[in-house]
Amino acid sequence: MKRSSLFLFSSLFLLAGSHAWAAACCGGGVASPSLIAGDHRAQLGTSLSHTEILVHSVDTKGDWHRWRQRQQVQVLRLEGAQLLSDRSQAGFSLPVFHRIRDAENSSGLGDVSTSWGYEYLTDWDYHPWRPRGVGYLQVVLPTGRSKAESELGGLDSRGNGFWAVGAGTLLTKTWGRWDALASLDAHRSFGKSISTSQIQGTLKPGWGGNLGLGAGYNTKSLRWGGQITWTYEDPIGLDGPSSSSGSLERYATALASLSYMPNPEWSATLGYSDQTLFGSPLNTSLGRGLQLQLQRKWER
Amino acid sequence: MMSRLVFVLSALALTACAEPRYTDPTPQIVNRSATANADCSIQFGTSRTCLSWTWEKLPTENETGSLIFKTYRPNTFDQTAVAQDLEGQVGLVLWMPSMGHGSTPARVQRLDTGTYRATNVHFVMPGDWEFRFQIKDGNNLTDEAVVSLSI
Repeated sequence: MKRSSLFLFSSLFLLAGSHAWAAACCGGGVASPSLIAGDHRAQLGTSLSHTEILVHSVDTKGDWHRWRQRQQVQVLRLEGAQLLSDRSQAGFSLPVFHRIRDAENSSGLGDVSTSWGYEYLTDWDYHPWRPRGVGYLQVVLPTGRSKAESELGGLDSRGNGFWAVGAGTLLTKTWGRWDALASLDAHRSFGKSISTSQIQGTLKPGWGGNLGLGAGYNTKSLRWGGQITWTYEDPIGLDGPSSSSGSLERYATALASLSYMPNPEWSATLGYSDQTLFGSPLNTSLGRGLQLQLQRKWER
Repeated sequence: MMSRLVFVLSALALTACAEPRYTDPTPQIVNRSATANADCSIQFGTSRTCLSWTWEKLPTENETGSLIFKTYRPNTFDQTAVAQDLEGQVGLVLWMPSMGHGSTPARVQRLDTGTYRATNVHFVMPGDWEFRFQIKDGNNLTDEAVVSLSI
């Protein structure tokens, strides 16, 4: 039970992390790393998410605005991780976005991220309360277009769009059929100069972070799970002839998931996410969606 | 005991349900009339040229709109508006300062001395927006007048 729980557990984090840390509209957010949280040496996964935007704008006062306009975001993601030694690992995540707004649509590569992780707390002795802890460093490449650079009102924005570095940790623990996880990360995005037909100047992003708490119940080959992730991003200022100070962004993403693992090599996870349920969102859009993930693992 | 209480209160604070405050789904686009008198409440930052604007066609969620804007200077004798052209490439940018993004580019056409029409005006989402009436020299912004509006 403990072993299968760990395998399913790692699937949950991958799903939650990949999709929960992005605002529904216009890119935003920093992608989470692909991490091995179970007892295997490598993993490769692909996931497809579909998000319907329900609240088109939450303003800086916290008022929710809806618009008679259909907006959807679909993300196809390829991600993987490989152990480098007993306790260290490297991973990558490569997302492709397809964004639809009424009759318009746009597709392209999002922000690619790479990570290096280290298991600083082991659970080799199945300690009764001490969790397994994986710390990681992450580098995000600005391969996606930032929302400020978009000349289509965010339709072609596919990520944060800045170089960013981050550090975080994932703590996991299983007790019989039950498991729990906590994740925390902080990242710093770096500014860049832009020149479009609409704005010229230097974009100045800042710090951001995510806090996730989750739990699950495992049967022989199924895991029922839930998780909430709170996300915060500093304002993105614009220095230039036409300057702007921006406003902070925050939102919470709730995720319910069901994972199925027919054997130790393969797992599938179906997730339902909703950004309208928790937290006190500001300066963002909120969506609700479904995600499907398939993952192949290789045992040690 | 106290630490347990703090833990429970913290957990409750973190998992508190969202409290939606939905606004009226109908766009609140305030119509403005072009001023006959040169009140100069909107001005370009450098040239101090005055600006007024009015909707020609209100945009909706799914359709673009158009507006007419006029540029002028106050007559030195009686402060009435004297039409005045803008020097350079004239443009209109719709910008959402809190979100840090714009909309689809508007097109600007000169109709007469100091009179311009902006078409393809579209707000991609509700919220607080800015009209940035701009004058450019090539890619360089040389002057700007900013109007805030809530949608």
